[in-house]
Amino acid sequence: MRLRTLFVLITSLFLRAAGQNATEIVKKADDKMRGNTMQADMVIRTIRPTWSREMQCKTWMKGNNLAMILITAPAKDKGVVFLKRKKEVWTWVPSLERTVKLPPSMMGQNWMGTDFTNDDLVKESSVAEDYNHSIAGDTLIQGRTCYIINMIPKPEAAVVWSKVIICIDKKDFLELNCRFYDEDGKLVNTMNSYDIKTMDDRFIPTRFEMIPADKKGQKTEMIYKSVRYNQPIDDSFFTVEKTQTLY
Amino acid sequence: MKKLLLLVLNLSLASFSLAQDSTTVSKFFINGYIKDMQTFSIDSSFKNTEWGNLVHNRVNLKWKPSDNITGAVEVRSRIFYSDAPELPAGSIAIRNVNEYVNMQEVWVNTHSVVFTSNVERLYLDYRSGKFNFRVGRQRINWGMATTWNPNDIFNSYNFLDFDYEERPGTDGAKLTYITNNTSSLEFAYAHTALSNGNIGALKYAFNKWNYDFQILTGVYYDKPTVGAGWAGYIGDAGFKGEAQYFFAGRDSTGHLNLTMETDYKFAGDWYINFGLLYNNYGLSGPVNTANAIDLNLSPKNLMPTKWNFILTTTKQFSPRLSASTALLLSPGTNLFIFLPSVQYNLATNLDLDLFWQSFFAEVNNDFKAMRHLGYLRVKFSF
Repeated sequence: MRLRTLFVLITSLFLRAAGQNATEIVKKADDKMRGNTMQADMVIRTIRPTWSREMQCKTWMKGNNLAMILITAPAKDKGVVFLKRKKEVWTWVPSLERTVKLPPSMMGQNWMGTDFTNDDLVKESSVAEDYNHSIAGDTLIQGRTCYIINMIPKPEAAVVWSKVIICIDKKDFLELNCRFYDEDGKLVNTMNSYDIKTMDDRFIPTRFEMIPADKKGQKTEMIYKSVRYNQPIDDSFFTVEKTQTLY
Repeated sequence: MKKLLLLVLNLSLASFSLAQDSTTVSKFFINGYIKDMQTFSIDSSFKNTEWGNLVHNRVNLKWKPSDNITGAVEVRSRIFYSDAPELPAGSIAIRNVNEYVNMQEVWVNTHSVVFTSNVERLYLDYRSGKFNFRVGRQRINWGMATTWNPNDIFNSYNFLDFDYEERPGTDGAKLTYITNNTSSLEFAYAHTALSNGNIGALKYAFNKWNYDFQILTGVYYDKPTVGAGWAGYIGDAGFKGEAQYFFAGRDSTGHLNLTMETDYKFAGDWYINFGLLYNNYGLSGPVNTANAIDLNLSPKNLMPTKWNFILTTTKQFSPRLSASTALLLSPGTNLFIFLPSVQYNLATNLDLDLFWQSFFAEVNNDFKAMRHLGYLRVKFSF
């Protein structure tokens, strides 16, 4: 009996250590992409079988709680700003000269007609904190050996997915592939990362494509034109007042 | 004034070449649009139709000589043509009495064509630390809800006027003090062309329990007023509201406008918004003549009817195509408005939009269509 208890104890300790290991890998990869603060100029290209549309924006992020996105092109959306503070999201609409608070149900839905969700852009949920992680195996992506990690949302987390499978490069901790599953366990979106290069102080993928599973010929690309990490940004930058002055 | 308008119009033409790289010109920004809208109106008998065409240009200039100072000029020009026997086109030449300084120029005003330009914004803005001061013609927008905004006492949003989302400005000044990252205090004053039509009010805005709140008090057209608004959520659905009370004067009773709404974005890009408006001055029973329903809306009169319910549904079919319908019902008076629209993006900066407005009401115990309006609009943004 004692032996069995010991066995269970050791097994559970081992499993917990393995779980922590998976969490640490995800956290390391996430920290690498986000830094303490991050500022980026990016192009977002929505691709459909017969046409495509391009959008340009600037983003500022600080930790998990603070994010701001300014749209700089096309002309009709120029000056629109999205602000996230903790769980709240606002948008500044320059033509109306008004701030509009968005309902939480917007977070899981498409952002500005792209295949990225609001959550993908402003990172309301945290891949490190809002999920339980476990290593499911190894795989080879773009010639790099990667961990396959299953991520199951914690019960209290405001996450729209039932499961996320993420592949992280073992050497440089790069998130190279990510698959998002809905409540029925059906694949909804796949994200691939490419064009790995040094930007600012780190080696990161700089082109990401989000591919909806059930729509042939559709995808959205996000390309970093420039990125700056760990520049100090005061919390007072992430305020409703500030959204009105960015453009 | 003519010189200023001509200058801005010239800049507007020049901006088509500038617009491409406007972000690289760090101190000087220009944007705007040119729209052409075909309008079509049928009366209740479906016999008399009227056609019109509106060419509509807006040029927004912004000048940022330093991080603290911003100057802005925005000019709106319209050429309206109508085949109507009377002169409905003349109405666009009427100046806005909320504006104290007349900066409107009517270039052409004939039986069927009106060409007019107005300076819609002309202000200087100064920001320093926690203070922000803006003086001149500006939009002071205190609304929080989507369809109706009782708190927007400086210039109400008429939700039927879809082609003028910027709204007119008011001549005045606004001082904001940012108390901390989630709260602010604002004082605003608007001087109008009406003898006792000035507005002065103080607003305190703060964030608590994931809700934005605001409380305001001031004087509207010589009468004291108080109001409050909120924007937050219940579960995953948005929950917003605004209430504004205008105290009784010598020859009037107290006046309350109250709105509440909830919105939700469903999977598959469906968006639904349900709102209600209570206007204690509004009509609550059937009318004997259609003219009793006055759709000239103001901050005090957001709807001519007492109880109003609106259900707006929007479906985005693709990043280029979306459609929307709004159903507005005012029980008692039995006013019903049906507002479908389709938005189609032809090219990056080119949009084609179709709007429809059908008005129905019960007049002399007979529920019938009163008027139908159709609009087809092409918009080029720069």
